[in-house]
Amino acid sequence: MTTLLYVEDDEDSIYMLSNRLQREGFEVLVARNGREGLDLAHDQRPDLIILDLVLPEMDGFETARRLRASQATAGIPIVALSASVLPEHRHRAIDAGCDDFEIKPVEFSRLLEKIGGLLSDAGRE
Amino acid sequence: MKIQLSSLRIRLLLAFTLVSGFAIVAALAASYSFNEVGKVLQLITTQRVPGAVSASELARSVERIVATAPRLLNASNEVEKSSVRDQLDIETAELNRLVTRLRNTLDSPDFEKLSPAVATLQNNLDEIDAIVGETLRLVANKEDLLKQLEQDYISFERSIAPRLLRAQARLQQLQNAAARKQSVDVDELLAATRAAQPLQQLQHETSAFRDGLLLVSIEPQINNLELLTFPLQRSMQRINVLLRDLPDDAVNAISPRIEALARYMSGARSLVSERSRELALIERGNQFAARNKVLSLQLTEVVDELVSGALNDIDSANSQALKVQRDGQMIMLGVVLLALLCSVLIVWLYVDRRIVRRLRLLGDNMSAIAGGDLHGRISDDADDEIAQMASALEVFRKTAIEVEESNLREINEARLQLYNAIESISEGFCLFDVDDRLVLQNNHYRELFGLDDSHLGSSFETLLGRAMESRIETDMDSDEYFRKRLLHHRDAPGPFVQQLQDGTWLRITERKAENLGTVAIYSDITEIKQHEQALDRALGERDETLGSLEAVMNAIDYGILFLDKDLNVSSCNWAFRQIWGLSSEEIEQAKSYRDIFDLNYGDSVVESSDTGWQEYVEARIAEVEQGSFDAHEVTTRNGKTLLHQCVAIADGSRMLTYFDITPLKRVEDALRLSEERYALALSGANEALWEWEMGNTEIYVSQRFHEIADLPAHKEGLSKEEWMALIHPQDREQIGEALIEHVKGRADFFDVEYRMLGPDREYHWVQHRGAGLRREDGWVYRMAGSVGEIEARKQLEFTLRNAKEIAEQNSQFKSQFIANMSHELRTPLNSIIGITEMLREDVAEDGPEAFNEPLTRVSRAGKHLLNLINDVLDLSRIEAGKLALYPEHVEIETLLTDAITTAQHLIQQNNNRIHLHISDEVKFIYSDPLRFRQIVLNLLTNASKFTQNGDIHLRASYEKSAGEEWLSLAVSDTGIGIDKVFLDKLFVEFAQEDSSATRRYGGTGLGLTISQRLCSMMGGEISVESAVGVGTTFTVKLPAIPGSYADTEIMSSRASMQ
Repeated sequence: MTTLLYVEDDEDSIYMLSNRLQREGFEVLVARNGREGLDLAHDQRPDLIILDLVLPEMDGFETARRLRASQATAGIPIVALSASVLPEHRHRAIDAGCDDFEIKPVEFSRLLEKIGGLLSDAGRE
Repeated sequence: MKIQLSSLRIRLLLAFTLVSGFAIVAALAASYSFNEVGKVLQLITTQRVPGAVSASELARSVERIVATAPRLLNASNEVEKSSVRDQLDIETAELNRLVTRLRNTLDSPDFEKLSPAVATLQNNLDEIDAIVGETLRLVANKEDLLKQLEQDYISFERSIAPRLLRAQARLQQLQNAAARKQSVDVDELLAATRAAQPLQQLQHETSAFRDGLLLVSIEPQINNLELLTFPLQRSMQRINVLLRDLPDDAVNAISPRIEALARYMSGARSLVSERSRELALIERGNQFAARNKVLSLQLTEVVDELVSGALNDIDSANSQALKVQRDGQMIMLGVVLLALLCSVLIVWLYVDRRIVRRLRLLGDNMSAIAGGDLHGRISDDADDEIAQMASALEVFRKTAIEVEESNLREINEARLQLYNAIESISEGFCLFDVDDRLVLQNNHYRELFGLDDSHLGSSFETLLGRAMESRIETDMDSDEYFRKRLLHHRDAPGPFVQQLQDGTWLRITERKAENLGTVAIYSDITEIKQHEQALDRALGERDETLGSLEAVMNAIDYGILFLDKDLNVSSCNWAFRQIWGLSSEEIEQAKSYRDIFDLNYGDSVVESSDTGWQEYVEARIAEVEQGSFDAHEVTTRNGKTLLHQCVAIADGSRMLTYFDITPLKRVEDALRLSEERYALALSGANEALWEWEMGNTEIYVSQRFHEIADLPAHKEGLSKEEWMALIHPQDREQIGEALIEHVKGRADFFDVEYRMLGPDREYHWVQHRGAGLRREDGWVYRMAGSVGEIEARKQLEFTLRNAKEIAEQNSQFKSQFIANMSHELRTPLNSIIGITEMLREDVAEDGPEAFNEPLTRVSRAGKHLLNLINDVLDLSRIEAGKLALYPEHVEIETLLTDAITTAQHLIQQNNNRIHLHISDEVKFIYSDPLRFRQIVLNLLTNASKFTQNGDIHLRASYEKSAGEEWLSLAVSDTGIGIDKVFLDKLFVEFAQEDSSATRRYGGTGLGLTISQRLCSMMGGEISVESAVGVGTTFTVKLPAIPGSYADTEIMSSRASMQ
C-alpha cells in the first residue's frame, strides 16, 4: 500500500484531507509540525510527503531542506501545500526542494493527479 | 671581317684553345676513371656483398635445421613433434627464400651443387618426420602391450597366489608341528613341500620372465634383443616344465595365464618384435640425421666457396677500380703538365716577346708626347694591332704639333681682344704691377689725368703727385690728402670718392690681386652726387610737413594709433592717449601693438574674462594683421563705447582709429531699457523686477522686492554677494548653476525656485526667473527678470505630495492586508470546501438525497468565495504594481487547446460548440503562460456563460498595425450580446451588466477587469464588439514576440531540470 505523510497543523485540514486520501486507498501518516514530520519521514520512509509551509516549531521550507539534505529522505517526492498565494512562497518552496506546489483550498482531483505523477516518476527512477 | 692569321687575336685564340683542349682531355680522363670506380662500387654493393651475406645466412639456416633435426627424432609425443616440425618448416621456408635470393644475386657454378643438397635436406627432414611418426605409434603400441602385460601378470599372480598360500600354510603347519616335536608324517611333509615348491618356483620364474620382457622393452641396442630373448625362452621352458609338476586343477587355472604371457615373447605382436621395429626405425632416423649432418657440411662448404668467390670478386673489383683510378691520375697529371708547359711557352715566346715589349715601347712614346716632346720617332714594322696602334699614335703626334701652333695664335688674338675691351669700357681703368708701377691704362684714364703711354712704368706715388698739382680738387691739406690717398691705394678697403677740379666726382674702386698688383677703376659719379643733394633737400621739407601733421592729429578727437608693417607702434595722437588713459612716456616704452594691450589690461575692452585675456589679445592682433576692418562698437571696462576701425596702408602699416561715442550710446540705451523694463513688468504682474547691466556691480531691484526680501527700504540695488546671502544656504548652489547654464547659452532663460529671507527674517519660497540680452556675438551684456513669492503654491505641492505618498502607502498596506487576509481565509475554506465535497461523495454513495442539495450549495459558495478572493487578490496586486510576469516561450496551440479542455465542462453545460482556428504562421509567443492562459480562459468562460446552444470561435492570427506585429486572439460567441450602454463599463470592476447577472451567471465580475489589466501589462489591449441578441466578440491583441522552437525546448528542459 502506498504511504503518504501529511505534515499539517490545521486539524480540520488534517481531518478532511487524510480522510479523502484514505478513501483513495492511500495509507496516510500525519505529523503536526516540521520536526515530527522529519522524524516520521526517517522512521517510516513514506512514498510521498504533503507538506504545509506554515508550521509551528519548524516551518515547511526548513523541513523540506532537511528532508532533501538527509540521504534517507532525499529521494521522497514532496508536494508543498499552502494557503499563501504569494509567488515568493512558491519559489522558496521549490528552492527548498519541494517537487510541486498546491494551493489551499485544495482542488482534490488536481492534487491526486500530482501525487500520481510524482509517484510514477519516483517509481521509474 | 677579314681573318688574318697574323693578327694577335687569332694567335691568342689558337694558344688558349690548345690549353683548353688539354683541360678537356684531363676532365674526360677524370670522368672516365670516376665512372669506372663507380661501376665497380655499384657491383660490390648491389651484388657481391648481398650475395655473400645471403650465402652465410643460408649456411647458418642449414646449421640450425640440422641442429634441430635430433630434437625431432627425440620427440616423445605428437605435440612435441609437431611443434619441432613447425619450427623446422619455418626454417625451411627461410632456407628456400635465401636460396631464391641467392639465385638472383649470384650466378656461380657452385650454386648448382647447392639446390640438390637443399632438396635432399628437405626430403631427409620429411623422412625423419615420417619415421618419428611411426616410432611414436610403435611406442604407443608398446605402452599398450606393457599395460596388458602388467594385467596378464596380475592375472597370473591371482591364479597362483591362493594355491601357493595354501601350500605354504600347509607346509608351515607341518614344520611348526615338527618343531614342537610332534609326530609328523614325513610323507605328508614331503607331499606338502612338493606341492609348494613348484608353485614357488613357478612364481619366481614368471616374475623373471616378466622382468626380462620389461628389459626388452627398454633395450636401446637392436643387436642385444636376441640376447635378451634367449633367457626368456629358457624361462618359458622352465615354466612349462614346472607346470607339468602341478596338479591338474592348478595347471588348468595357470596355464592359460602363462600362454598369455608367452605371447609377449614371440610372434608379430610380441614386445620383442615391437621393440625391434622401434629400434630399427630409430636407427633409420639417426641415419637420416647423420646424412643431414653430412649434407650440412657439404652445404657449408658450398656456401664457403660462394662467399669466398664473392670476396674474390670484391677484391678483383677493388683492384680494378684502383688500377683505373691510378691510370686516370697518371693521364690527368700528364695532361696538366703538358698544359702548363704550353702556357709557359706561349707566355714566354709569344706574349712577352711579341706583345708586351712592343706595348712598352709604345707606352714610352705616348708619355713623351704627353710630356710635350712631339718629335720622338714612332715606328713598328709588324702587321698586327699593335702596329696599327703605333701608326695611330704617329697620327696623334702630328695633330698635336698642329694644335700647339694654333693655340699660340689664339692666345695672341685673346690678348688683343682684352686690350680692346679695356679701351671700350666707360670707366677709367689702370693696372699697377707688384712694384706699384703703371703697366696698363685705357684711354679714359689717360684723359682723366692727362696721361699718355710715356707714363707707363711710372710709380703710383709719382702719378698721384702729378694729379694733385693739376687735377684733384680737395679742401684737405695736400700732404694729409696725399697720405690718405696713398694709404687707401695700398689697403684698398673700399671705394674712394674724389672730386676733380672740373667738378667731376669720381668713385675709385681698387682691388689688390695676388701676384698681379692693383687694379683701379675710376667711375664718374657726378650725376649721383647731384641726386643725393636734391634728396637731402626733400628730406628737410618732409620733416617740416610731418611736424604739422602731428599737430593736426593731436587736434582731432579721434584716437589714432599708427603701427608699422610689423605691428610695432609708430605713433599715436593725443586723443588716443586720452581715451586709453596712457601717458606719452608709456607710449614711448610700448614697442608693439601687444604692449599697448598690456598697458591697457584692467581698463580695456571687456569682451573677455581674465582667463581668456591672452586669447583675446591674439584675436585682436590677428584681426589687425589681416587688414582693414570697418568701424564697429566696442565697450571698455570703464563703460566707454568706442567706434573702432582699422585702415591698412599700402606700405603694410596700419592706422587704427578709436572714436568715443559713449554719450550717444547713453541716450540710445536709455530708450531700449525702458522698453525692456516695460516688457518684463508685463510678465511679472505681482513680482519684483530686477536688472543688471554690464559694468555695474549692483543689481537693480524694483520696489516690490522690498516686500518679499529682507532688504533695507532705501536700497535700490544690491550686489551679487548680498543677494546670495539672502538665499537659503542649501539652495545657493542651484542658482549659480542655472545662471552659468544660461550665460553660456545652454539655456534660453533661467528659472529657479529657492527659499529667500523675507522681511520677517524667515525663509519663503520664491521663484526667480530671468534672461540676458545678448550682443550679436552672444555676449550677455544685460540681464533682467523677476522674483515672485510662491509660498502658497509650495505648500499646496507639499500637501499633495504627502497625500500621494500616504495614498500609495495605503494602497501598499491594502494589498498586503488582502494578501494576508487571503491566507487566513483560505485555510478554513480549505476545510469547508474539502469536507463538503467529502460529504457530498458520502451522500451520493450511501446517504439520503436531502443532504445533497444544501451541501452542494455550501461547496459552491465556498468555491465562489475562493474565486472572489483570487480575483480580488489579482486585481489588488495589479493595482499595487505587485504582479510580476514570468515570460517564456509559449507554444500557442498547446496553450489554447489546454484552455479549451479546462473550459470544456462549462462550454458543454450550455450545450455550446467550440471551434479553434489557428493561422499556419502562428506558432510561438514570448509571454507569461499562466497569465496568458488566465485571459483566454476568462474570455472562454464568459462566452460559454452568456451563450446557449450556440457556437464559440477562438481565432489566433497575426496582424499588423502601427508598424508592429500583433498576435490577435478573438473569442466570438452567438450569445445574448451586450447593450451599447454597458460596453464602456465592461472593464470596470464588479460591473456586470446587471447586478442580478452575477447571481444568474456566476462569476465575480472581476474577470474582464483583470484580463484587461493583464493585457495592458503585457503591452497589449483588449477590445469588444457586440450586438444584443447576435453575439459578442472580445479581441485580445498582444505584441507578437515569437520564440523559436529550439528556444522553447531549451526553456522547457531548463524548467524540468529545476
